[in-house]
Amino acid sequence: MKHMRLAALTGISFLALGSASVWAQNYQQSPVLDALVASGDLPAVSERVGAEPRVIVPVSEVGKYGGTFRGGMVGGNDRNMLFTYFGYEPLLAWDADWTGEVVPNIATGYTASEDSTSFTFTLREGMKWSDGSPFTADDVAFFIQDVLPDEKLFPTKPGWLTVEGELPTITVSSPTEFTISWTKPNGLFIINAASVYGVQLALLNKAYCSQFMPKYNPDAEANATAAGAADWAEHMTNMCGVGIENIQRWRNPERPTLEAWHITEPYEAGATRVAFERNPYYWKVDTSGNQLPYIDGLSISVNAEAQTLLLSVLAGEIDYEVRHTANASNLPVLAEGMEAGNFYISARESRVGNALAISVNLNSHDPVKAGIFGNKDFRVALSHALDRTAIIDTLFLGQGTPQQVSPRQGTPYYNERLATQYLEYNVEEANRLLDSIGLDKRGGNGLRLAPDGSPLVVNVAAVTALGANADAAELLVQYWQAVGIDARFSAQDRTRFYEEKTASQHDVVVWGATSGGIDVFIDPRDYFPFSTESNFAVDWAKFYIGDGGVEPPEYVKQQWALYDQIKGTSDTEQQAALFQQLLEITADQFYQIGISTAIPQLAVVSNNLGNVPEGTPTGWIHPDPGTLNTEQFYFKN
Amino acid sequence: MLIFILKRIAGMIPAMLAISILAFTVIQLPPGDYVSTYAAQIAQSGESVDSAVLNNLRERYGLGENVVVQYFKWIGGIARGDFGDSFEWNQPVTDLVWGRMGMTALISLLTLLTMWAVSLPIGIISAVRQYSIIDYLTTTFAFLATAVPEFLVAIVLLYISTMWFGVSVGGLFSPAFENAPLSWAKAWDFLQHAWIPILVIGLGSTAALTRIMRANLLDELHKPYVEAARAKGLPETRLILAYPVRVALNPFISTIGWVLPALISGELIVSTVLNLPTAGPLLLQALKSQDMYLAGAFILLTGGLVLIGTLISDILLAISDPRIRMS
Repeated sequence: MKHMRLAALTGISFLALGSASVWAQNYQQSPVLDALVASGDLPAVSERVGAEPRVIVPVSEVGKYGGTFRGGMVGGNDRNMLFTYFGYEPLLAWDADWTGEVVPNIATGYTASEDSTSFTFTLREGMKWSDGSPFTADDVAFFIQDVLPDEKLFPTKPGWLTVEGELPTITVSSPTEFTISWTKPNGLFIINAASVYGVQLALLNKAYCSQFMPKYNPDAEANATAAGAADWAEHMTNMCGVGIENIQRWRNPERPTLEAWHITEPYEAGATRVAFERNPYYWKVDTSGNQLPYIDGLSISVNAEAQTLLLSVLAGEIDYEVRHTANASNLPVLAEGMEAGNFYISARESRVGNALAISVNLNSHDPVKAGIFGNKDFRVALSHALDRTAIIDTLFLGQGTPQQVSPRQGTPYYNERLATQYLEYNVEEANRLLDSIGLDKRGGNGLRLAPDGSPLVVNVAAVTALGANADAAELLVQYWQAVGIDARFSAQDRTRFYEEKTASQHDVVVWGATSGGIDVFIDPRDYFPFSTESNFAVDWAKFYIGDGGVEPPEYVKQQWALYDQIKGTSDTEQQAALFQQLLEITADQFYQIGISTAIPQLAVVSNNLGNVPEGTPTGWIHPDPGTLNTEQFYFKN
Repeated sequence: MLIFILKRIAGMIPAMLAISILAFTVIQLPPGDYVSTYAAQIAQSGESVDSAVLNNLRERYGLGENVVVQYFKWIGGIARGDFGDSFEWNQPVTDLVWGRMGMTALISLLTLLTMWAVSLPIGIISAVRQYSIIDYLTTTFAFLATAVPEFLVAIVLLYISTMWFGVSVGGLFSPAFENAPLSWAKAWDFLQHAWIPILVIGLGSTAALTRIMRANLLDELHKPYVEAARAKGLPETRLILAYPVRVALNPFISTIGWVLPALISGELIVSTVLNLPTAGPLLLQALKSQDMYLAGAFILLTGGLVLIGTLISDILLAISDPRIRMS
């Protein structure tokens, strides 16, 4: 009951925020559109933004129109750079500070049923696609009814849109109102809808995209063949980019979109630059009634190497960069080049659960190692053997404080015991624990032998391309050798690393930790065997997702049951309480060893770019700079 | 002459097949496949990917199949003009390779011509004026240029232009022309950018060619037929160009065979450093991500280009030296 009241209230407050018709008489537009409106090629700005545009409060001031934003991508598969910068337009969005609150975006508000099985959304009056056609509930229904169930377009259904394998149904009650529902509760639906995944619901324009489906167009198959595609589904994917992560999403200039800029020079085979221009029908305005975006166009270079991009940054040819070059190892060269390149370095708050996650393989296929690694005392000993303060000073320039892999302090998911246990640097205790679990025999080299008398070699694998991980692995090896463990650093290529890890053939791996805030519900891989990214127990995780694997002990199943209960409610307090129960088991088992609280993610920002907030959080679920509303960025000069 | 060319071309076919087998084997050697690289990249940026999605991908690309089956599928497709699909770009490989290979061929050709235009006269002058100031200067320069790796020159050039002049060198076009259709303005823009890679790629080989030309010519200069011609009163310039230079050119021409592959492999690294829209960076990227059809196509075509280079040098040799044509 409590939840429903909350949701209804939020719904109302959303509507209040969303009604912007007070400005309806005097919207302004970019001067580049003036001629088109005067000639009658484009309707007046008040008609284009619709009756209820979303009003964005600019970060520092009302901006100026004009300019071209310069960005850079690396390699051929960097489409998510475009997505996280310019493609984050979900039904509901996160606020820039990621307090966990969702704010209206494409939808003005929603109400959830008490049992979290159905969710009713309200859309904006008169909102339009970039081609001027109206955006309505039918467009969302097209995705849910026609596209999502199709085996060719979506061979695997996105997990957040299914409940125990069941797809959602949709009821359209008016052009601006629809209800999405399941027969069982989907308590995480709203936070998923506000994360990057939620963009999926309003990605496809029915009028345009349905022409590629045989259901709507009898010639669809013939047209696909004529266009050189294998079948209609491939043709449709090429033209419409049906999934949020499809590269084709950034290819077809004709595809209508709800984003602030639409692509004009596509991200395709061997392109060295992609370009966008402003969407004249964009449905957001600032507090003075100026239609957004301020910036007229985007020009994104496609670089062969991250180093080339770094040079562009240093030459002042990039306006915002957070993805490839803005990292700690480049900090000295970036700091040196700040003045010449006319940019500053901004720190973004990384909300991951730790700077590093060190996983000891609990599912080792070597029976001797499985016995040792599975012993909690072994992992506790490894943890006590580490001087975290020294490691933090060496690797992270002293930023960060010692902590285990855990949700962040200050969130409702923080678990004191999990975060702070076994942090103390205590070589004596480490040796005592190792002796006590049958590792007290030493070989000729003075290093410990397994209980059966065979040498115990522990490979610590890290990917060399990810410098910090490899540096950490080299340090860990030294600390562990100091307590008599024959740890060896294994530098690996990314592919090899993944092959080995996915087949559960690794001993210890060093990798980044993930979610530490509200996203722990969306991707809890660090806290229980959840996906094959749960490096400490890949075989158990495979069992969970139904991909073979090994049946785990009872406590893991208990965690799975708790996670199912979390999904079964949308009462946020209850979810947090259930998650605490789940984390108690994580703390008991001590699955992973952490080093430090998350260290800041850097961003390089041009001095000329305005309305860029400082210190905002970043992550995949809460993309940077997408959640900062890039449409209100502007050029000062 | 025609029979000679036809015989050479016939000989290229088995060589091409051998290259294709070698290319495919090399691509298949590292563990894993495109899908696992893809998963690793995705996971590194904090994005998550479903293992069911990965299995779907493997099935779609036929990655589980036997290597021999995969090879015959691939080569069979190529015989029909279908190079397969690039996993990474989700587009037919044919769309990707031709433009890039064209750019590579253009850059290589321009570099070759520049190399000749520079090394021929310098080689002649330093041979004729042996032990003069010019000879010492060019010799010193040639040793330096051969010794310094091309990619280092590219990096130094990039550093200087970025740090001192605040412009990033790189690319072959200004942003305005990058995706523009072909025009005179675009061609001019191209030439303004192209001299840097041409200089960098050609530097080492130019120096080497200068030395070869100098040495060859020195061998000829003191032979009796030169003395005889001089005694008959031929003007010095005409004498040198008409007789000893022509003879000295022989090994010069036959080096096309090895200059072309050197140019192309040099181009690969330099292009990656300078971010040129040629085959190099795309090939490197394809190899890194195990995008095997794309990588295979590039290796195959580059191999083809080398064979063509050898053919050209054979034909030119046959033209310039009757002894080769006859034997």
